[in-house]
Amino acid sequence: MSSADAVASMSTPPRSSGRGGVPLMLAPVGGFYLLFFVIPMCSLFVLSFWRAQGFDIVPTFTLDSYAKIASSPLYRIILLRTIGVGLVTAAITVPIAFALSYLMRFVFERRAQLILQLLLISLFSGYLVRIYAWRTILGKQGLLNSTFTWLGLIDAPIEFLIYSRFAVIVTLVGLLLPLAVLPIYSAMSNISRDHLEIASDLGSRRLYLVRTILIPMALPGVNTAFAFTFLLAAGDFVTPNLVGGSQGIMIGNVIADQFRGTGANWPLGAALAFVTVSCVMLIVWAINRVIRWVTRW
Amino acid sequence: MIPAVEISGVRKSFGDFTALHEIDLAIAQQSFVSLLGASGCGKTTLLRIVAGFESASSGTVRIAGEDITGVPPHARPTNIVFQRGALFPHMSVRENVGYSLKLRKWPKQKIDAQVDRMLALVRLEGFGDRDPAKLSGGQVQRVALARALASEPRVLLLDEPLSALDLKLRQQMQLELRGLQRSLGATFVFVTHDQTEALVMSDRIAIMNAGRIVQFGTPQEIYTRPSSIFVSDFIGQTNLLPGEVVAADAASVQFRLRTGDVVKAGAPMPLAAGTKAVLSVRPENIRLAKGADGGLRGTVRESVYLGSSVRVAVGLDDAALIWAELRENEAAGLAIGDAVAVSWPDNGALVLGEGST
Repeated sequence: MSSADAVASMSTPPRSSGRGGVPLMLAPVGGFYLLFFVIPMCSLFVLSFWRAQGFDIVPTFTLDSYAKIASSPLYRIILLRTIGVGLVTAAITVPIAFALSYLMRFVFERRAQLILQLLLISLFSGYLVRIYAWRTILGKQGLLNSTFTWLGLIDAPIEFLIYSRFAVIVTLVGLLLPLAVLPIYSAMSNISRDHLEIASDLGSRRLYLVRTILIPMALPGVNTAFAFTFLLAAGDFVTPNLVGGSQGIMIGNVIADQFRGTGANWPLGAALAFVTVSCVMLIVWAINRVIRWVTRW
Repeated sequence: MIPAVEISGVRKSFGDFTALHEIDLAIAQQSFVSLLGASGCGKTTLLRIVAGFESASSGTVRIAGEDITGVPPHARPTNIVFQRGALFPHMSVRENVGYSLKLRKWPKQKIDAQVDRMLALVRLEGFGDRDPAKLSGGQVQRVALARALASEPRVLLLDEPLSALDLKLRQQMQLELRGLQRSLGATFVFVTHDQTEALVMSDRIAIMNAGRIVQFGTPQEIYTRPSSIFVSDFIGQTNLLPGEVVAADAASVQFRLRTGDVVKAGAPMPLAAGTKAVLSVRPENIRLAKGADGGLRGTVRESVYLGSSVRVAVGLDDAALIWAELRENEAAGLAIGDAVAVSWPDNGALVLGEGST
């Protein structure tokens, strides 16, 4: 997924100071970016206008793949569902990450390093392992169901806990939370207790303070966290595969299927990927605007 | 008149540590009061209790007669300025200054007019659209001041707002702050560890030590009639000579120094004969005369040229060192090793009891 450039464009603070040597210093990053992002994306883009014929791919210019996507309600439904899951995941993850960052920054200051390390351990402890961990929690004989049964709260296991959109969202929130905390916490380290005290001293109540000081000052981090979680959630296909069941299928699964197996159709897969990327980028941009508008001063 | 701030019996403890012991302090309206003390003396804690950031363990705080002990900071008629302005970086100077007005839902035109007035007051006309990140240290503190004054608080609290500035700027801002307070007729409570700053600006100074107010008075009272050894040592410079009270009457005492000499001095508190005490003499009160007659006998040990004055250290017979601050012509002809007579006017020395803190 193309989270990188969305993040790069948004994590720049609103008021940046111009410095001369920066373009030169960014050259290695630019080179890396070109090699591993721009070039693959361009070739994928070109591919989306080619045609699949049997097992061959014919270089030509056709809009067939895009026409197929536009005319198929299935793709539209799955794309919308994917965006929905992405938005819900981000909408749950970012506020939790924000609250957690606030606690780390201003309430449990002395424990912040420890919490940060725990988050990093969880972040780096393996994607699949963590998804399977959620399966053991949410499964039919999983931790939640067996606990509830043992407590006598339920007679039969709760079905929707696993193999559902609910399971996908819960798992994604769990996976992405550490990733969302990092940028928000880092943005919050620029806010001092003095800022909060001054605001309340000048007459700000809690909520007003959050809206006019805390969020705007942490905005670059909030935007980055939102982009991370939304893009990664919308682009994920392993989680829906393992905990999503049939109604949990997301566009990532559909795209992945176009690149493997007997029904493979690379141009269609490329076109689907492009449509998805465009929609998702548009949404990230729009949400960024909305947050800015809500917290405008 | 009702005091602007009335602190009664305020105590604050953090666990086993008592930061403030039963503080009583009344601050008159339209006055400039400094809380002066070394770091850790409780002055900032006291200010933060008045601002509402800390709650007192016991006691009450009244502002203009109204008990605000349990009132949260946002509802108190006080505003504060910190050592580092803490301007909101995502707002322009104008938006920073207007913050408290906008949240009070003032109409836009009124806010604009008030912000302009405040910027003029701190001499920053035309800086309204600046980015706070592009201001100098002094400008940041001025904006912070304008922001705190914009909603016209009953009491302005200042927590070492000049400490981060360099000396020249600090001296200039001291006078500006004082002028501002006079022209607004507002009540300012200023926390500082810098005695000169407190002397320059204040109507009254509360000297704090170890969680207590040890003296509260005008700068002159505090300088000329310190109530304790601590205060006399803390404010300005002084020579402290231990000894014993020989005789005392209402106005003065006879005091025997370790050298055996008996001198006359004032005493802010009654001291019985036989009490061990300390004599405090300011360096600028000391006179030196060549020769051995007409005062304590001593020897010049050191002479330091300070431009406007000369500091001379004299060793007394008991090896105690006493510093004199002389004008250049008074010090002329004094060389290291010379025998001198040390004296001071009767009202130039005070005897302070050991027990008083």
